[in-house]
Amino acid sequence: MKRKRIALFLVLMLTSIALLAGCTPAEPAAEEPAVEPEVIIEEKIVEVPVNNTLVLSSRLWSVPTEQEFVINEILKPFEEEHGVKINFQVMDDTTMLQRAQVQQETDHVTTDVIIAYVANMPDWINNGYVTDMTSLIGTWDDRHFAKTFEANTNMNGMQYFIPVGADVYLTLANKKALPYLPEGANIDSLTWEQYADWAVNIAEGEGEGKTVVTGVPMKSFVYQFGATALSYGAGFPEINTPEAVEAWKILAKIGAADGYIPTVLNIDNCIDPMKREEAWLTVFHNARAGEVYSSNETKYVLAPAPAGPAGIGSIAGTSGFAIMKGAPNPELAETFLEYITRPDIQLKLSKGTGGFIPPVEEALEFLGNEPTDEVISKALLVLENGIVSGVPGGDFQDWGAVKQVFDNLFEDMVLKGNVDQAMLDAASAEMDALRK
Amino acid sequence: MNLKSMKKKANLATIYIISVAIIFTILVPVYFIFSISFLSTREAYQYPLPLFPELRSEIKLESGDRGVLLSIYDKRNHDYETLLDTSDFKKMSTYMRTNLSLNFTPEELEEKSSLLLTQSQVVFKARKDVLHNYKTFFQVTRDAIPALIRSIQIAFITILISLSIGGTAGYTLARYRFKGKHTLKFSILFVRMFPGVAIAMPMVIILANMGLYDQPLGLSLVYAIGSIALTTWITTSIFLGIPVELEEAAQVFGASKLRTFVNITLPLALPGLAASSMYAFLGAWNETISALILTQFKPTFAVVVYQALYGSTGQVNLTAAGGIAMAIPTLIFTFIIRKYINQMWGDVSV
Repeated sequence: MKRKRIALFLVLMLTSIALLAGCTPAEPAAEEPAVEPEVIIEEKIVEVPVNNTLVLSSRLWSVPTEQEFVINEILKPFEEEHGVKINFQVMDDTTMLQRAQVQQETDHVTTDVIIAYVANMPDWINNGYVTDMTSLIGTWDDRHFAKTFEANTNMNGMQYFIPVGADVYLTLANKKALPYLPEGANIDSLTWEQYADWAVNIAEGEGEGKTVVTGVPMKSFVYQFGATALSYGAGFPEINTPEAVEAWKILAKIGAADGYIPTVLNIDNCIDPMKREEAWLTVFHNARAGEVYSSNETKYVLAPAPAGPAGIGSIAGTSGFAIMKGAPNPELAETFLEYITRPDIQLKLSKGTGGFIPPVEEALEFLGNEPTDEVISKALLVLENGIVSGVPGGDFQDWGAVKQVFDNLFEDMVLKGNVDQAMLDAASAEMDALRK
Repeated sequence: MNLKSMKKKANLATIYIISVAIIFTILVPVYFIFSISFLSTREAYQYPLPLFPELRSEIKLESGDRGVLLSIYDKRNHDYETLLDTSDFKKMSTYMRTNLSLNFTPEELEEKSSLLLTQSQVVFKARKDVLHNYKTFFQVTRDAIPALIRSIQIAFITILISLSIGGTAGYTLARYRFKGKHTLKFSILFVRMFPGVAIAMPMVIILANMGLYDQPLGLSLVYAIGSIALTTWITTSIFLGIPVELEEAAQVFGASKLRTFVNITLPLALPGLAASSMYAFLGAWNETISALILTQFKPTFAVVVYQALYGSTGQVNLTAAGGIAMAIPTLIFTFIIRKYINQMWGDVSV
């Protein structure tokens, strides 16, 4: 009998702890008045003086050396000037959005400023997580933001995001590849046909492929293909149109000559193989290309992405600053945004973080002749004169699945060196089924 | 030598070969991560990867097209490799620190470069800062030390909660018969089937209402939910392995139930409790997703490591340093309780 009582007591204790720790969220709210806990929460959550710490959550500048630069060279001067502290936190877009959701839905907003990727801006705006900054931006007459990204940063005539750290695609080559450059070709005005010939020449000369794309599924092959397709006049993401087929032919020509590095299907970013010199040639994201370039400026050459009959094609992206709705320090957030979007600060930021394009038009007046300035100039050339497209991730149920369609074509078709219209049609139908 | 003896020796040799292969398979990757964490960024991208980090580097400065041409002696090629051509000594200083793990101020580099006015090249050796990656890691994370202390606190509170509740539940399930015992035993594990992030929202509401949002105790409560279930299962099997007759014998000699438990049962259950502690510690120590959402000003060490290394593509040496920094407390904890771990899963010697 005694044993049974003890057992019952222990089981009850276990159950109550489990309930207390998270199984019944509705009960406390039902028992207590709605207003009371709010007061307690404010006292408990924000222990640091609210007006003294600005919380900046960012998906940008995630590379440790970039973080170090941003903290020491950009944020520290602001902290010293205003006697405040900036809590700079790097996280991926999904987690940042989840955290914002949690903060908004529980009405405990502790983040002031966020930096989100362009493809996710509609989520932030449509969910009402960020504030309208139209009037604030209207007071700044010394800077104008690139119009390319207005469609994403603005909605219904109101500006919610300020673009920062734009990116396009650039050609990056190891100098060891230069002797294989096709006759008459100039790296600064390369065509896709010349690029393919160059890759084939290298493979033939070296006995193995030295060109790289991201072969691991769900990475950036879709964007690398997009750059080629746009150059031939295709839209993005098109698979089986005559223009897209021309782009596939270029990539398949490299595949037919075993021009891709043997480990291409294990490559999830082009930085590592380019730094290791396993690969000599690629077309990829300008800031990451800038990262490789700045690791040894004497070893690599950078150029705009190759051109096709329609011009230089590139996928273009940007990130953007926004102030969280209900931010604890809205005025400090505005002061911070005024500071960080100053043209000189924007260029300093771009140069210190690998070569992102500063989307502030006036920042370009400060461009110099250093190699990092060259990265920015060349990227800017692509952005301004090229055929650029954003990432229409919002048009599809699952953008990752769309990426996979392209990844499969790379593995099953490009690497085998042929272009199969039936396969492309099937892939296109597969992609259409993923449209919203 | 007879056939039986030869067979015995062959078997022994096979066992040794397999054992060495297993040890090799485990230790080589660990060694590489450890070794990479001390390499400079340049070394980390050499092929083949150096087995040991260089302790000194030989640097050459020459006149270049843009200013001063910086080169480093490459032992593999027995030649200098050019790296940078610039007149900006601040840039050169930053480059040397981040890519070569060499610490020189812009002034020092300018002074050395001034010798190029009278000579064609300046060659000098410099001691490499082998701890550079660790320093960078802690510099980038800024509040790494408070986060480290916080994570240790969280892990130990989680262990305390898990052992006190899970251990008690385990004892109950092992020793007492009651209705629905088996259903309860299985249902305990249901809680582990939910991904942490899926219950993050109700967690925030509950923790905020309890005044525990962004507090170590709040996270411990969240982590303890999963750990309690596992602890219950582990300790149940441990308590089942301890003969009831021992407890009854103690009680025959006049010991109370509590005394019997403390003096007889508990010492024998220590391996299970140690194993449960290890699982609870690892769970609390490594968890990132919930911690990212449930903390703001008081992140855990896993969160600061994640934030520092999330974008470390292209800097594998920094990632390795972060990984090692993250693993050390776990290793220490495992080392402390190592003698009990071997006896887990009911292997109690009485």
